[in-house]
Amino acid sequence: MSFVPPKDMSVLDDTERMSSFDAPLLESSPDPELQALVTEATALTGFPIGLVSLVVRKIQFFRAQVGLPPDLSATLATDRCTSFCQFVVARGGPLEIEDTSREPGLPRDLVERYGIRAYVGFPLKVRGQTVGSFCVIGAQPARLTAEVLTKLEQLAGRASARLEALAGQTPAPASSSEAEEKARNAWLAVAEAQPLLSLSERFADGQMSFEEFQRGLGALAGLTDSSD
Amino acid sequence: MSVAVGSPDMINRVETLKRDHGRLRVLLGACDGASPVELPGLMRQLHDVFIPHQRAKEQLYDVVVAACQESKDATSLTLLNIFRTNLTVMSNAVLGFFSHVDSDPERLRQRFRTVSAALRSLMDTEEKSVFPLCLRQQTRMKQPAQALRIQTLSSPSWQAGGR
Repeated sequence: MSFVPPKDMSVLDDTERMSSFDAPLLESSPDPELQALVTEATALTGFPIGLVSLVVRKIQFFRAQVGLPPDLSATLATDRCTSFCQFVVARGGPLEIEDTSREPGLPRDLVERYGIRAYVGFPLKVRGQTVGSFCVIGAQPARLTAEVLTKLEQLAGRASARLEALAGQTPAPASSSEAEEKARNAWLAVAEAQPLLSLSERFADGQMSFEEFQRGLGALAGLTDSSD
Repeated sequence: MSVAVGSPDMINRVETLKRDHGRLRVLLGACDGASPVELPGLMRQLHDVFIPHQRAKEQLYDVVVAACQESKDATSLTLLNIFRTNLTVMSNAVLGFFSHVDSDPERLRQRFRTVSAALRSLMDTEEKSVFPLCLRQQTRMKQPAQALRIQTLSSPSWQAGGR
């Protein structure tokens, strides 16, 4: 047992960090370069799941993924509050969990819902802000060697460079005016609600069972709880 | 409530909403291809079509959800509540977007793509799942309603002129 959640999580909602997120970063169409990096990460570590996870206002959004179950590959997101990646952002440093069953300080939702046992994540940076985590996830307890961790960190660095390039496609705000912040937050609300629609669309297309549909909704419960 | 669901009014409601979808898709297409100068004006048109459409959809949900509750159709009720929640979350978000238009034309254009994709996804799902569910519910409600009417007309008390 070694994980203690950071006392101060306020950096997650930092206005400047939030301003890093714009349309190209939160687009759900696959980015081949990021996709290749997560695939390489799973091959390197032997972990089945690899993610470029962007920790936004209410959700963590998977900008690239390999190995996710059908419901999560439809939503490409879960609630932020249940994620492990939020801790990578809050620390601004890596997080390594060898066995989630021995870490009572971690959120249990995704552990119980998807059987997560091992996690290793490195910070993803855009314009100097930690926007998310480049991570691998395993269904069995595991410990990576120092050599593998170094290589994984290098892949995270390449993912950050790619995200930086994507972020550069959007004009940076000329000033941080209140109107601009409101406009960004209003757009973010649409972008963050989109996982619900993707899930419903996949279900309506007959591509997932009702159970998978409900499990996916459960992982996004925070979006609907705060809709009132 | 069952009268509203069991009447041809339900088919009309769904057909009207489908026609609205057609208008919204045309406007979305125009917005997608609009110049930075044209986009804000087209977004206002979209907003003006979207608001009454969204209200009509909420009314449809109210009627059908009430019918499902009456008929104790738990599965349809669960699905409708999920889709109604999606509609509420997304409509609130889209209306917020319309109310706070970004001043940078290129950023607005990029962000609008997210909104456009979201609205298209919402409409596609409604056409594939929600509207058929509403019409199925109507058919189910219609049968007992008709049976009840026949029974009433032919009931001994009616024939005896009693009431």
